[in-house]
Amino acid sequence: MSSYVYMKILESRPRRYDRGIAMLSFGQSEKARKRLVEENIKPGNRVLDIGCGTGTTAILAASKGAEVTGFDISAQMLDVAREKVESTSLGDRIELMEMGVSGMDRFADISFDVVISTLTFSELSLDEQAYVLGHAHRILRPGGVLAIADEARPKTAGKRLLHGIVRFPLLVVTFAVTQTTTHAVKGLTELVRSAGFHIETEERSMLGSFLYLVGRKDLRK
Amino acid sequence: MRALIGWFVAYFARWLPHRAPTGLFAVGRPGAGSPVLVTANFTLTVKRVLRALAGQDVWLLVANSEGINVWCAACGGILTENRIIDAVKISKLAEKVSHNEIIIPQLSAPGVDREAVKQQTGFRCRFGPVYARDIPAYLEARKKKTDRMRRFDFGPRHRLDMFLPMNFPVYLLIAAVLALVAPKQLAGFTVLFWAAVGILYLLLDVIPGKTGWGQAMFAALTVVLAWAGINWYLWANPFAHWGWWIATFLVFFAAGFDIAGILSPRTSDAERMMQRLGFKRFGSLFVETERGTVELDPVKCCGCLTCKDVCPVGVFSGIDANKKAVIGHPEACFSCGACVKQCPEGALAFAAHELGPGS
Ligand SMILES: C[S@@+](CC[C@H](N)C(=O)[O-])C[C@H]1O[C@@H](n2cnc3c(N)ncnc32)[C@H](O)[C@@H]1O
Ligand code: SF4
Ligand code: SF4
Repeated sequence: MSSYVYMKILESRPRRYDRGIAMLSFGQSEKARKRLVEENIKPGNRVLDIGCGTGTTAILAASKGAEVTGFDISAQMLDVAREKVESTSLGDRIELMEMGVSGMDRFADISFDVVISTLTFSELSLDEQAYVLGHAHRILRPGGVLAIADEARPKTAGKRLLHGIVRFPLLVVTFAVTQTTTHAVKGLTELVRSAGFHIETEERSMLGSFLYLVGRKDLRK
Repeated sequence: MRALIGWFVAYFARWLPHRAPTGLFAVGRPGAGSPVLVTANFTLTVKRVLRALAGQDVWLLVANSEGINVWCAACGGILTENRIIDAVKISKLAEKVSHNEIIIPQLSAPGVDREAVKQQTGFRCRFGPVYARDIPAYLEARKKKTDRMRRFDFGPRHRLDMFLPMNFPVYLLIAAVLALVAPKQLAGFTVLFWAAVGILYLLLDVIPGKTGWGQAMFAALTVVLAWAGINWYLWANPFAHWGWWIATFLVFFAAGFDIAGILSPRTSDAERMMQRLGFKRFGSLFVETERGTVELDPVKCCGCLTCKDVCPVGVFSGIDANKKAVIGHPEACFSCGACVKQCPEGALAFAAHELGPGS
């Protein structure tokens, strides 16, 4: 049926996701994940991973000794994540849940030390991002940390153009493999700030296309 | 010039995912009792829905489908109950309306578990028409759907929609290769290609043949014979220009490569070939074709006819004297999965046999 093949390719995306994303980001995503976990997560931390996907970041965090809860909207992505978790010995430190971001309302106030999210904000629409940030602030303990690594829209027109040129062939290849494109986040730092976080780190990669953002919830409150 | 480029992009790129903003939008001046229509955030879809809703007072709830159209997103496991739940909760719909009903697109049926939406949001999902253009008539008729509103329309409108987006990329690809290796043949190829596409799109229903490939080859043969006839008449030699014979076959093959899959509710030849070539290994990629057609367990069936409501090709004809669903047109089923997903009693399943050619 109507571009039926296309549908099925979409369905099989999760299986090829890990490869696709590594390609699109020139391996940048791997480095960003490692750094995010290195700098923000300590043994024993209760960690929430928003849009954990195939579980790569969640597994890194658990192997650092954290207790990780990861959720994702896609059952297929989580299937892959479960397989990956099973192949490690971290099963009892990682809990995976299938739900969209609106499911965050089930977590109690002040129930996490760290909230992380890699490459997921760029898939959320604006109203979803604001919703997520509101709940992230609510469920973090005072002094808790929100750490995000994602693709971002470069700030100046020149860099945007350069970035576009470098990225275009990759975009085509990635689209062929995963049938998706990623959408760079725009103005995320401002959104995080207005959700009540104190921005501790905001770093961009060379072309300004990859954003690493750490916000902290105030100690008092 | 700008407008031209804009049109060009809008037309050719529209089958690519493109995201519209999500959330709850007021169309006209809706109140607490106004209907809530749900759609997906594929830009073209949202535009069409808004156009169809002009003059109405309703709520439009746009769910995040990653910029993919309703049907592809639902079949591809992207537009699921989770997306609807997110949209309802994040938009605080419950604070805007006093009722608990949302109207979701019929073509979202393969992906959405309505029970889960009800449990987590309190909203009941009702399936609206397949096409946005039928929404006004549907609302006018107090949300009663006619059979026509349930059908996916494979008619002229659909063909026109598919004509350029589906064929232009293929044309461009082959033309680019030709321009490099045999630039002299480019003009001939251009005429031949669009003639072939035109013939197939116009006459698909009358060209004999069971599969799309069969039909394309039949059409090619007819053209080649006609060409030979003309040559015979003019130059007394049917075999003059025999090179074009081969070209004609190749071009028709390219033009008709997935024609059955795109223009009709038949099994796609392209898909079947990939399967035969052993592409089964590709994870979940080809599992669906092995589903076979739908089968009913009369013991479980309660006669609610949800299946008839969601089937876009009219496989179910009604209920029999024992209040069981009747599969009146099993041959029309193309295994979209809508009825199997939606049957509240689990009375429907796919027969496990593999599809034969043309079935
Ligand atoms: C690009 S992947 C990133 C996955 C993983 N965090 C990583 O770094 O590889 C984005 C993920 O976000 C998930 N996602 C998108 N929208 C979501 C939503 N509304 N709620 C929860 N997860 C969502 C997708 O299913 C997908 O697995
Ligand atoms: S939806 Fe299921 S229970 Fe209802 S009529 Fe169809 S087969 Fe029977
Ligand atoms: S009968 Fe076949 S075509 Fe109709 S809804 Fe069920 S699976 Fe889809």
